[in-house]
Amino acid sequence: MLRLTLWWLLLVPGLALAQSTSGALTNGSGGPAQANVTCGGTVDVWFSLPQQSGTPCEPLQVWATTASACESAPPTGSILATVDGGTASASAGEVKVVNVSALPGLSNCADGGVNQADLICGQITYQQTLLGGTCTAVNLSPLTVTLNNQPPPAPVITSVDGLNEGLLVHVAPVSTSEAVSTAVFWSLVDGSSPGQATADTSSFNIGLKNQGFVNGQVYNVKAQFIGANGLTSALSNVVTGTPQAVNGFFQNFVNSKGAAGGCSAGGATGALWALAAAGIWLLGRRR
Amino acid sequence: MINPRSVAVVCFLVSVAAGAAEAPGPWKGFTSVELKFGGMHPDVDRTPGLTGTPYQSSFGNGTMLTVQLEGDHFFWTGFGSFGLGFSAAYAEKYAGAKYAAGGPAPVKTSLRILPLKLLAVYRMDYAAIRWHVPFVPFLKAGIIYEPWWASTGGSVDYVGTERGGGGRLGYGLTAGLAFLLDVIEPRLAKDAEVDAGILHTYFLAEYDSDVVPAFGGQGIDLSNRRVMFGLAFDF
Repeated sequence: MLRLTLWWLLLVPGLALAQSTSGALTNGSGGPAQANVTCGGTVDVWFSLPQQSGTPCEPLQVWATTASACESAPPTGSILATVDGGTASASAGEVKVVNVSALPGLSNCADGGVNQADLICGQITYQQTLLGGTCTAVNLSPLTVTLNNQPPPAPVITSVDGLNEGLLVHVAPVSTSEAVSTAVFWSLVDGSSPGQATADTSSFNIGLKNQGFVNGQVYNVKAQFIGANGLTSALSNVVTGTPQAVNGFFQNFVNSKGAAGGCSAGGATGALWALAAAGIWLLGRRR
Repeated sequence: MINPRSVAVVCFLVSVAAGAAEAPGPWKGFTSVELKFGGMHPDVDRTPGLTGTPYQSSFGNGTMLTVQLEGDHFFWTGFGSFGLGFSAAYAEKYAGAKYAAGGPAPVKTSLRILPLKLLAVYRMDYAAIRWHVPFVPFLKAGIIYEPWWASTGGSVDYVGTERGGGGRLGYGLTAGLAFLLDVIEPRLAKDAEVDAGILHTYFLAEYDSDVVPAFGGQGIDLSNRRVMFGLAFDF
């Protein structure tokens, strides 16, 4: 009985070690376990192995599945890549860049508008000395790859303010996961003088200047979001805006018949540095 | 016509320089670093030929928040300390811009000034060092170069081809009083000297009077008088 207990104490940690799943597949080196991809895109698959001793007796095998969980072993014909034992003995590395078209559940990109997900699974076998040299499989945490086929929602322009020969377009904010940039389109109300500009969504107050706007003219303005997947939203509502003269401090100064005057910045800076050099020379002479 | 104030500044600079070059005295050079805060109100609305008050109509009567960093090297000490220094300050004022037709515009207008000074400095610290009197009067005179720029909606203003910015030359005088903080905590002061090499620490207040432009310069008047408060550390 005592002998059986001792064997059990030895065996349980060995089994626990062999079934460890602390290794993982990620999107990029040390990246997340989730990848959002677009049709025709790629996903960069990396592995990290569990901290354990033992020699790999089979290469790291990576496969994709449409199932909700990884199979206990790669189904026949599903292997996407293998990493040989020598490389897999390292703790981490790149598996390969996988084309979305090679993933069984995501290859049907024609099914637009529907978010789909595949799992990329990994398994490696180690020779466990505690178990008498038998090879034991270790499954890595899978990487979930989601097809983002949705265009961003249409933007809402809340107002358009006039600037001096420009416009300031206020767009209702959305998260950067929904839109990465905003395209703004404008034209005069009769449709003439069209133009467009694009701004990233770090700000939803988009200033349009130096675009040929004429003070006093009324412009129709609309916008469109561009998503991280490159898809564009529907057009926003149309709002009118009128560029008009803005008097800042300097305009007020000139209107009061003031002139900036002064020497050129370069000449005056040179004079100042000459003075500084004279001071340093004076100090050196004193020393 | 020669401005008597200009003559005073030039005389002061010459006398300090002469002291540095010729005056005998013990060599006890040290460096002082000053960090100061205050507010300035430039005399923009006193620019010659102006028909309005553009500063007031843009910013009201408010002062420009000002921060200043100064480094002085004192190379001669005898009856007080003489040195040369350099300071850089930054002052800004923002306000909402207005439409020419009236009403507030959705952008801000600003005036920013970067006064740079080359200074001659005299500090009357003889009594403080010899008899531990904690009050140290000081005088400074310097040549100033002030880059400035005005902007509306984040970009520098242009009216026609005239740029709302540039650089002005001038001069300035400063008088102030420093309080030697070492007397409050002598033990801490000693530790600061041993550990960080800080010989003395002062709280100071000073009155600056800058004439910009000077030497016959035309254009925007950035002259100002201001009170600054701060700390000085001698190394």
